[in-house]
Amino acid sequence: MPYLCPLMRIKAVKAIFLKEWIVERKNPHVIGGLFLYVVSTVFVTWLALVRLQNVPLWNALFWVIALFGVFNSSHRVFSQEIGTQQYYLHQMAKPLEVLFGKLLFSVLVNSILLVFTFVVFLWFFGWPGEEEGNWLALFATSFIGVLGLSGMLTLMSGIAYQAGNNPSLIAILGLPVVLPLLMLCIKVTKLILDGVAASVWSDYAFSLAGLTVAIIALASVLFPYLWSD
Amino acid sequence: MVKNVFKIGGVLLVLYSLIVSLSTPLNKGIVDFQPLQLDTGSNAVSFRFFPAPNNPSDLRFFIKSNTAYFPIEGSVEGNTFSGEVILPDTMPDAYVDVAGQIGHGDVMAILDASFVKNITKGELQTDEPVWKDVEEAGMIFPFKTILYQTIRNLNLHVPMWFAMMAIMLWSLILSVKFLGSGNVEHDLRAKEAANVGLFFSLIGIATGAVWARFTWGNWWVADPKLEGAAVSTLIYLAYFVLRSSVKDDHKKARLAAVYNVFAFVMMLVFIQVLPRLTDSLHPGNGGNPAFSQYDLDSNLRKVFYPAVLGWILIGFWLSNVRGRLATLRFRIENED
Repeated sequence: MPYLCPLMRIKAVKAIFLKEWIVERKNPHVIGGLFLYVVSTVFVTWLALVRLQNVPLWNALFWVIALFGVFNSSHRVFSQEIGTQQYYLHQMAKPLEVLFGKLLFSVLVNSILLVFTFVVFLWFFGWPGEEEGNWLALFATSFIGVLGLSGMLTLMSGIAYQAGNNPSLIAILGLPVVLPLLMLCIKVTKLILDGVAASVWSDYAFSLAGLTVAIIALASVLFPYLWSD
Repeated sequence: MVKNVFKIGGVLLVLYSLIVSLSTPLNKGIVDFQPLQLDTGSNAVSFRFFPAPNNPSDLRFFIKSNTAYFPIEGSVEGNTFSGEVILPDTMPDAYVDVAGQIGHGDVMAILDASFVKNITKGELQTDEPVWKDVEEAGMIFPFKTILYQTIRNLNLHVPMWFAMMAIMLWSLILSVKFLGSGNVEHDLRAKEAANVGLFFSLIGIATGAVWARFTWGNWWVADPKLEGAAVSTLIYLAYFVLRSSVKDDHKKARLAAVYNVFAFVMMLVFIQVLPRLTDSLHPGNGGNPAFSQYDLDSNLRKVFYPAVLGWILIGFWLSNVRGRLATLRFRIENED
């Protein structure tokens, strides 16, 4: 399958994904730092609260901690392309291949980060709801949310990288635009944790999926303008 | 002359809307009818009317049950009326209205003001009171409890958001144009348009805060529309932070244009889509009656639409002037 579409070669996407993988394996402290961040933040929250049987609060804390984890990890996406590496990528790959290679790796890292945050939350605070929840729905909607977050923050990371690789710029640019997606994520997962019927939250889940598709489409339209010099 | 039409038109429309919306009188009205439950026989009742009459001598108020009118005897103090009404055992409807007139003026009414217990439903007809020369209602704004005189703010507060969205859309179009053409002057114009849009959003937040204080009791309330306003202001502040953090003009233009396109879509989602999924205090969202139901007499619309158009035109004029200034500065700087 040499060409899926004329703008993007699957082989090149795979190569960039693998490149990311190798770079991260050589510097394990970057991703290790993310996991340490999650554990220490949840631990500090646990020290402050100890008991947390309140579903909205559990859900909100979970998403806020996960959000900042994702923000931290998104700085990693472009910051390792120091010096002339960018020109090498320009030569070897088309913009969309760069975007999707990096986006896929970012989705992988962020999904693992989210699952890890979830496990640490369960470890310290326990399951917030009254009864067994709908695990499948929770993971599915969270994954859609992570997809949207990764797409948005990969674009923001690209902008911040072009603007001089300034890590604080990602937070400034990303936080206001990430809010619609984050509010939907918080709303859907709260309803699922509450254990309400699927018909209640399915509308929100569809909005979330639609927004995610729109974000990734918009990112793929805009990224070539960002990447070309 | 022709290219000045939209400037003159904008100024005239805004002047018209400001003058008319501040000078038009408010309709008269009755509020706070007490008690909420009446009984047969003699009842002590009280209510307030708005505004306080100049000459309170000639007042006539009635409890109205379909076709039957029962006079309320009493006196006025300030703008509070307290009096007594005698109700029979048989009435056409248990839900009663209050209707009345002070001197020569409009007839005021509260529909379904109270409920009468212990009655039997039956036919009853009294003479309809003869209202004294009711004035021909000219330009008049509807009377709404809670809103009162602040209903005029509709013509200042809401057009700010219309103007802001129009100018931000113009900024988006210029950014897309820049991405297509690579001409930095398009980007400078987009930046100035965003500047003007931000200005409108700040005025919108200020006028909204005053209104919220009067009607909802606080300068800032939990409401998706307010969150949308705050977020869109933050988004465009971030846009200017991004611009100021890049030195090279072409690179700055490219990054800012990409962010502008992305930010506008996210702002649209936040302002237009999310409020429809949650409850809002604003009219027209989450089960609240829509704005058009608030002004059945359509007098507000005669001021509101010109105000929207006028502010949009003034916004375009402002962004046009600022954009030309910015492009001229850019040309002078790049000459040598």
